[in-house]
Amino acid sequence: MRAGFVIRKLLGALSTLAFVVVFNFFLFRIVNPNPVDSMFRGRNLTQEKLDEITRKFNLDGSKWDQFVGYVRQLLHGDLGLSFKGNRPVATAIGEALWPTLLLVGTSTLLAMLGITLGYRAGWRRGSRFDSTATSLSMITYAMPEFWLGMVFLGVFASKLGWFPVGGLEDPGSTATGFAALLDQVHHMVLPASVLAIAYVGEYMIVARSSMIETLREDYLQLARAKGMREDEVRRRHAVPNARLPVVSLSAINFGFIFGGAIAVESIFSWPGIGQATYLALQGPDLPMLQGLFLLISAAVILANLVADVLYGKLDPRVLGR
Amino acid sequence: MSLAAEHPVHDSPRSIRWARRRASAADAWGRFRRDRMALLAFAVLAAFVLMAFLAPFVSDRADFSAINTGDNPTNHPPDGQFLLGTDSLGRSMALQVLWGARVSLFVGFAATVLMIGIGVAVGLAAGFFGGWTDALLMRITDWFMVIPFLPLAIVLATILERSLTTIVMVIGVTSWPSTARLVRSQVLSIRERLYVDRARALGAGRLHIVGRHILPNVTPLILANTTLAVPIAILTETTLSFLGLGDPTQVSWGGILESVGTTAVKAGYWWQYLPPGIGIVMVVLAFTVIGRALEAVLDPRLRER
Amino acid sequence: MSVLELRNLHVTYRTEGGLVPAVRGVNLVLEEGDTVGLAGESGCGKSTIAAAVLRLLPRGTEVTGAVLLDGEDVYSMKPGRLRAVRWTGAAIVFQGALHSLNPVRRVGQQIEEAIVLHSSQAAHSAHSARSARARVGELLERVGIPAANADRYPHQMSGGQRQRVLIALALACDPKVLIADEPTTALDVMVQAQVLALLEELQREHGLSLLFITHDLSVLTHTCQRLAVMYAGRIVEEGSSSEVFTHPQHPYSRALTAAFPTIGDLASRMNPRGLAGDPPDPSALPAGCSFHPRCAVATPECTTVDIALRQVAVGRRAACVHVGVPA
Repeated sequence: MRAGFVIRKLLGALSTLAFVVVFNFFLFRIVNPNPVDSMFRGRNLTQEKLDEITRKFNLDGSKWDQFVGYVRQLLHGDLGLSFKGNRPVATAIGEALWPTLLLVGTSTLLAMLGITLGYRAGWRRGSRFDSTATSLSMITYAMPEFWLGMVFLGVFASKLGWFPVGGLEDPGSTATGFAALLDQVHHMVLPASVLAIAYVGEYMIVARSSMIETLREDYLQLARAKGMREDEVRRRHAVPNARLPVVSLSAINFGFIFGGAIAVESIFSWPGIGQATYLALQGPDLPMLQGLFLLISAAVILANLVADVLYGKLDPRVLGR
Repeated sequence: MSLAAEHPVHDSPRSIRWARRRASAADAWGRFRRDRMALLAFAVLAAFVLMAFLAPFVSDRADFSAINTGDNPTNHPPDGQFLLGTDSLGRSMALQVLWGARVSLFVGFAATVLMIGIGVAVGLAAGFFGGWTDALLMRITDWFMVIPFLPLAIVLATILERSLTTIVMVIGVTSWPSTARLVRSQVLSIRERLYVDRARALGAGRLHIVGRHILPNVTPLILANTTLAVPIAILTETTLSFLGLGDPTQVSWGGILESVGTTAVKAGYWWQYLPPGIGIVMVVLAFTVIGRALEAVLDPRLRER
Repeated sequence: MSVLELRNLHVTYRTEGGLVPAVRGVNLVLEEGDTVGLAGESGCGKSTIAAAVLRLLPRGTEVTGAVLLDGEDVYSMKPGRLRAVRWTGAAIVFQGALHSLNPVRRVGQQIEEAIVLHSSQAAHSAHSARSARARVGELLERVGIPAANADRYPHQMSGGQRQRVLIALALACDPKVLIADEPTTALDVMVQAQVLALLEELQREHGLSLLFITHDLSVLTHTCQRLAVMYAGRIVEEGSSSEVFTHPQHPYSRALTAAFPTIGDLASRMNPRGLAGDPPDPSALPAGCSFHPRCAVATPECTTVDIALRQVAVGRRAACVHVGVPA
């Protein structure tokens, strides 16, 4: 029974991915009907070269042929050539991937602390902890993450000098191994804090209202009547139900944090996908944007898949009889 | 001895309905009024709207020409003459913030209207018609929800010409899915209710059911959702402008942050980047507080026992 | 010694609208093996009594009087003692609606939880886990559910099955007192009959004292020896259930019983006599006898003087000015 559920979700994810690929292709073709021109802007091409490229991109074929060609390239891991110096997009993205994963991963984990805060606030609704937590969450939610980044940069890096103003590592640093890691962490503190603070509010608010909804339920009363301690009632009965909407939120939020990383990475010169996107926008470096869009969408689809499967494990009601 | 016999009906059904509506609206307003935070938020919002309106009267656009025509001091901190200092071109920050309010608020409202419009239409159609319509619309909604929102907005904004209309459209078109889902589930739950069945048994047509039963029950939800959608629209516009995708001819808070950039931050020109951000935070916060207060007032389940 | 005794119990909720007196001076005694029904409309305070017995009322609720379980006052117990007494001294069978059971936990596991909570401290061994599971199986079989169903989730069961699970759960720790709070309300008539029969069987088998709370009088007359009718937080009539049902003394009980057509009496079927008006809002009770606004035989005295329970006969009391002699 569960295997069927997982397969269904997997197929769903694949179909969404397929949709994204199609969407991606046609979207960029609208902007850029003739990729050759834009790639070799202004430069003279020999007829030979032109023919070769025409063949490669099926430019003399129909849109469908071009699409098929595009998909075939994708399956080979070829995402085209960036406008900037004709570097393979796949390579450029590959290099930028790890820093972003590191940053977004850390920030997400930190932001998820908001979940525990939210449970506590919901459990003790109306308490001072609750009002403080809720107010803080609303305030941080209202802050655009890049603005917060600017403020942090200004205060902690420029003025106080506690943290570097940007980059992944100190340029020219010869540290290796653990020292290098430490250096990276030092550089990551500000951008990660900014992202975490910007998104913790949402986790907190959703966890809180979910807990409040759960508090209404009769089975909590039944658990108490059985003679269970209050904190056990919360842990064993309230939380397993309250966390369900939070799981769904996490998937959605993952997509948002990725988006938020675009602006934050550019502010902190963090060499990740976000900064790559920001730089690609300046061109606009269309092949790069196309590749990045595909990648980010795929990442979010994956996150959604994981969340869906996890949800199925946590809530037997969605599995069907 | 029935209740009806004891209380004969004098008024028409319609006037009773309106009397009831007025009573519940008065009740809701009374409760809203008692929420001091919400009132404060309302006042703040009103102040910003006023600011936005007054901008053209306080100065004209000439002050924003790219060339420093007035020989104003550049990057000057706040003082008597320039309440919020000047930027790298000598332009008054205070005026920029004032003008920025217009764009941010306008885009916020317009994009929200679009977002809610599409979302409600889709949600109503899916929930009410069910079957294939529902399945198809929900598939589309799901797809839109999964595509990460900001990258999509960025891509669209890149493709299309940079203008306010584009931004409004981009935000509206990428944000409607969650409203659609919300409306749809509400419509579905109302459809299940007995009184709709009874209305059908009495021979009520579809339009009647939608107008009399479904809309009045969905509207409060939409209202609360709208108020919470405006902050999202404003924040998105700000982000898009910051990334350089906004309308280059307009001053917006996000655009100000983009033009002053990290240069201002590293040089310590706090008057250049703090005010626009604070403006954004205040407006967004105001809408959020009002939205939550509305939710609490309109949804009796959320109120404290 | 009585197994459960409510002595002048007053329960007042604290709400944002002010103080709401839900129970106003209730006295009730259950001896071992007694079956007592508590009947009344919604809002009369009967469910509050169920929660009050195991001290499950929301924080801040004012409770005065005494609730004695086996002679011990529940409200003077220390938290540890209270938790030990819950479910072992008295257990509640809640309404079997989908939300009385935790939807994300298996049914058997929820029963096991009760057993494990009250087993001796040495109990967290594989042996005790096995015996707990075996007991769960026994309990389920006893209520008519195959033991294998212990692995099911609540949403996979029918309403009737869920109700039986709740009954099995209530018996898990061999309580002396069983409080059934509207156990058959969410069920259709056929299933209702089965569940009632089950409750009666179990009560006889285990010698349980049963406090059956419901708004449905017809259910009580068969299952319970004694009957108490509640209105606006007070008991307004009590006695043997057959007596109260066939010869009600209080105008409210009269109206309640008259609402049920008597089988065989065509006239009563054609002419059901309901009761006009609504139960009073507990935060705004009428002066004098709280029933007087809806009473067909109210006297001027009833609007000012609150009538206490009066003796009608041995074991029969009713709170009405027209009845018996002042206590």
